[in-house]
Formats: sequence, C-alpha cells, structure tokens
Amino acid sequence: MNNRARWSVGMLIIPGGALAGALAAALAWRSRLPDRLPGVGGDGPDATMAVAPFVATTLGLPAGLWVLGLVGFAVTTRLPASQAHAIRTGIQLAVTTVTLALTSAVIVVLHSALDAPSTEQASSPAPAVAVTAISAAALAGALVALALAGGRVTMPPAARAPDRSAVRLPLGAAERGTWQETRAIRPLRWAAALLVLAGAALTAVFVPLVGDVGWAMLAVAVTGLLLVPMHAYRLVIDQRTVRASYGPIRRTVAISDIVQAEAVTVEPNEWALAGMKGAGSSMLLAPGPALSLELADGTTFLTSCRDTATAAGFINSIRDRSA
Amino acid sequence: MFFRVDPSSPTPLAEQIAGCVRRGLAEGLLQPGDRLPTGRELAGSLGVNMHTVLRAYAALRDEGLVELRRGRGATITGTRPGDRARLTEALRDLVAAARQAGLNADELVQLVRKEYV
Repeated sequence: MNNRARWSVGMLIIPGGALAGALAAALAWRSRLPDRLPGVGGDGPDATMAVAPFVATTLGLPAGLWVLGLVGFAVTTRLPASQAHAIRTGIQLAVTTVTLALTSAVIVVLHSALDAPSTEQASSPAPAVAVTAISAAALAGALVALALAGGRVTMPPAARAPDRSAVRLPLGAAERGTWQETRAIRPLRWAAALLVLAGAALTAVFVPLVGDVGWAMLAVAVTGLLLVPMHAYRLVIDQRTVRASYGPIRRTVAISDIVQAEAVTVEPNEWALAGMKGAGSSMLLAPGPALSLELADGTTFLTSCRDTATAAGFINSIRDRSA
Repeated sequence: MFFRVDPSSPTPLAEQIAGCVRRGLAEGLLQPGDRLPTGRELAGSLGVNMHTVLRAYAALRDEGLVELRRGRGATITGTRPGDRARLTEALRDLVAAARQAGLNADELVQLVRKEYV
C-alpha cells in the first residue's frame, strides 16, 4: 500500500466509517430507545439526557476533530517531509483514537438502553464493560493509526555525498556491516507493572467504597498497560536503512536520504527541549552521545546510540559507496 | 554493537560474526543480559545465510558466552577478562593473516616462539 493509500485509510475511511456506523446505529435504534438515557449528561446517578443531544454531542466532538485534522493535513504539505510525516502521524493518532473511543461509547450507551419501555427502566452500561470496550477501541485506534502512518518518510534522495571531513569507518570493497543496538528500559517496565497492580488494587478498594465511580481507577491500570510496549529501544543500521524504534514509535530513514551522519553530544538542556525543535526530529532516551543524521529534506534527526563514532562512520562509508 | 563480515576473507563468515560478539564483550559494548539480534534479522542485515549466523551463535554458546533459547534469540550470559578476549581476537586475526601468507600452524608457532625469546 502506498503512502497516499495509507493516509487515506487512516484519516478518511476509519474515522468516517466509525462516525457513519455510530450514526447509522443511532438512527436504526431510534424507535427502540426511550426518550431520555439514564446515567449520562449531568451530575449524579439520576441524571438523564435526551437521545438526540447525547448522540449529537458525543459524535460532534470527533467529527469536529476530524475536520480540524484534515485541515492540519493540508497545511503540512508546506513543511519538510520529515516534519510533515511526524505531524500527520500525531493528527491521525489523535483523530482515530478519539473517534473510535467516542463512537464506541455511543454504541455501548445506546445498546444498553435498547427496548427499555421508559427512562426509569432503562439500564446504564455496566461500568466495567463500558471502560473495557471504550479503552479497547481507543487502543485499537491508536495502534492502527501508528501502523498505517508507518515510520518511513518519502523524500527525494540526498543530492551530495558526505563532506570529506566527516568521520568514516574503513570498509573493504566487499565488506558488509550492520549496527544493532537494543536497550531495555527497566524503570519503565517497573513503572508499568506498578501502575497495573496499583490500578487493580485501587479498583478493588474503591468500587465497594464509592460505588460505580470507583471503576474509573481502572484508568490507572490501562495507563500501565499502555506503557508496556515502550520498554525497549532499538537501533538498527544496515546497508539500506537506519531504523530507530521506541515501542510502537518507529522511524526508518533510507541511507540514500541521508546527506551525512555525525557523532554529537546532547546536553541535558538540549535533551529537555529536543521535542520543541520540530516534530519527529529526535528519538533520544537521555542526554549524552547521539547520532545526528542530516537528511535530504533539510532536517536533522537525532537518535540515541552507544557508539556514535562507529555508527556515524559506517553510515558515511555506506553513503560514499552509493554516491 | 557493530557486526561486519567480509566474504572475500579466508576466515569463515560464521567465525567473523562470532568474532564481532567477542570483540563487543571485550570492549564492554555487550553486557550479560543483552540480547543479540535474531538469526533471521542479522542474516538479513548482513546478507548472509541464517544458518551461518546460527552457527556463529552456537560456537559462542559452546564457549559459554551466550545462551540460546527457542524463539528468544541469543542472550549474553558470560563475560571474559578484557585482556584475554582481546588476545583471543588478536590471535584469530594472526591465524587469518598466517593462512593468507601461506604459513601452516607449526610455522606460525615457531614465529610466535621466536618473538617470545
């Protein structure tokens, strides 16, 4: 699937399909629903809300976000390819996650009130079921959005070879190499386990004490589960690409898109502000040695590396071969 | 860590890959608990047969440097004193150079003895 097709699926078909599906379900169930829905639209357990405003409000938010996202997509065409890709990934992630979460919320709430003769006799969705369904939909949306965005940016190949002064690794004519680095981020692994356990314990304590509101503590456990995939950083450099990944966040740069590589040291203040230099400009675990890639679209990508001189020298030598 | 192979070298590819791991250990780039890339991945990146990588990993396992687990790849388990590892690595380069120069094992040992005196 090419880039245009992947962005179309992530930004048009999935959000549009989810909104249309939720709207179609609401219209199809209209005659089977009571006038007002219990447990939504206000404070306290006795709050009720008319069906139409509930559906309009809950679907209006993702619809508005979707439109804003499409405008954002159009604006990014003016940016360098790397930045445009990172911003588009963020927009797609937000739109798909929010849309799937809220459309699933509409379906869960309406489904639980189906065929109730009156508002008083209509039931609210079981909190555990609602939290699980909405979280699962949001998580699935996030993963699909990231998978569809991919980590590879399409840009015109670099027009020049690395500078003569750039560091190089002596390679034989037939020699092949690869840099392989995997780092386990143990503090994050422990934090994830702690959050899952704390969320489960808090839910078990709060549900008997404060009732259904206590199910909100499941959000702590869900946060822990979301952190689980982020426990490892990986950097692979071979004859064709540089691939950096941090959980589901991935960036792939073709060697032909690199003008030159450089070993740099990132100071703590630079590391803290790295995210503000431009979307998708870095994947830095900590201050210290980093590999700096000057790309053909004029941007720079910084990524953590244990032996930056070897990695940068290898990339420049491979670029020399292909230049 | 950096893996490099030279198909034009007389040293077998599997031995070259194992040598990269030994050098990584000696230089402190690899620590016990670190995972090596899977055979399929490393073979793809280096453009060699997967069985060549697995042969290298098996040799490292026999030396007690890595542990192989089905589906989990190779994990570094052993360390060796840096000096000894560097010496082993230098010895391998020396043997490769001797082969290239047409010396047999006895002739090489004689040369080494001469250097010791």
